[in-house]
Amino acid sequence: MTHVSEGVLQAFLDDELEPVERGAVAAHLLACPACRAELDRLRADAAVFSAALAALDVAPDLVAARRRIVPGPRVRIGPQRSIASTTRRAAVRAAVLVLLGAAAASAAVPGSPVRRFVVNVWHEATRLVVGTPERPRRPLPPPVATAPAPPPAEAPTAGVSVRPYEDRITVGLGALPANARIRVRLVDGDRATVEASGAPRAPRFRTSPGRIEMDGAARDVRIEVPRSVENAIVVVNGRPYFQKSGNAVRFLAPADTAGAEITFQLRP
Amino acid sequence: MDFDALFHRLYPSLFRYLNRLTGDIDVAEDIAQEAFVRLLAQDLPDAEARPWLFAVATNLVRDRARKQERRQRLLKAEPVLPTASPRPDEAVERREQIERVRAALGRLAPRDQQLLLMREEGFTYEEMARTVGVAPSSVGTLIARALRRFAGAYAQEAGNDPRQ
Repeated sequence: MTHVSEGVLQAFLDDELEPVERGAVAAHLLACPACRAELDRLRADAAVFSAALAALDVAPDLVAARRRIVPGPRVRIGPQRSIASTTRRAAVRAAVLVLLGAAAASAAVPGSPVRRFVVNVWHEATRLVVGTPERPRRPLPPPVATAPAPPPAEAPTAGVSVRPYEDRITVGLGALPANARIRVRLVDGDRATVEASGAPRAPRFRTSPGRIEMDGAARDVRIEVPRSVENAIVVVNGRPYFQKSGNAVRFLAPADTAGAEITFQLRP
Repeated sequence: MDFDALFHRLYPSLFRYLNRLTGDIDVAEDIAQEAFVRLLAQDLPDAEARPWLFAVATNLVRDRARKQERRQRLLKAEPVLPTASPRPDEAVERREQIERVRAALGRLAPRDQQLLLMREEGFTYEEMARTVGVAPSSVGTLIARALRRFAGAYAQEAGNDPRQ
């Protein structure tokens, strides 16, 4: 019997084979204990890798990252201005500044024609608009001391994601406030994600294979669960709220549904 | 191209990939930022944005590593492998765990690291092959061997732990 190569077995494991080849490999695996053992070994190596990587993960600061990439609210997408066009604009601006500077300098010299012109224009304008000689201006009120800008009231949005482990995802949320909103969504991807916002301090995430735990007083938590995962459970403050078993989804707390999204609103 | 949608779809995955690849949160943030800024200057269809972004980010990591290597050579210092930034609140055990994973990952060739980390982010063999520059038919074999090498190296690193 010809065995299946480890590359093809890996592709089988990663769902990268065409349906016909996949069927042939599946049929071979039924009859070949050696290839089944090899497949198990490949699966175990992949699980070791995924589990080990989870130790390296930290939640990105999405709000700060977003701000750093596009500082202002206006985003220019697509090809940027050419260097030639930018240079032309800069040259025109510089020329205007030089002319204004020269005019201001001439007006400052007593007896200069520019100064006489400016004074005449000013008197004529005052006579036409006000009708009387210019009165001394009232002094401006002293500036009102303004309070310094308050510090940001909320920690930035943060989130982590993991792949299922043994076809299972567990999400545990702790220390959520009584008015927190939790939104669960079934998605097509292959990772489960938890994203939290509206927390006074950055929530603390811990991940392990197939599991995300979050502690923090976040007001808004978004959870994405891969549609393809066999088992998933979301536990909030020690109580199960959402469960997926195969294609069946159960809400274990009052929930609103809109499209593919399920919303749980915690009550005091 | 809706930038916000693209950002929320791609940034977490890119940051995770870069943090795993470099072992340095600051470097990962810097490179993710630069790659995104470059993406903004492109006019790519949505489907091509993700492989393009990861390929550019990986090249930026390589460039930075080369510059750092050159600097180290000039300073005649021992080459420093990137390690996770120590944090005061991190438990010793967690730090050691991170060091074990990084050491095992560091024993793989850069191409193998890239393949395994892209696989974790859900790239297809076709996309990985294009980014890394290998035949799509060889990706399965390369991944299987790299995973085996990692598992062996990781077990060895765990065995080196005097407490075990």
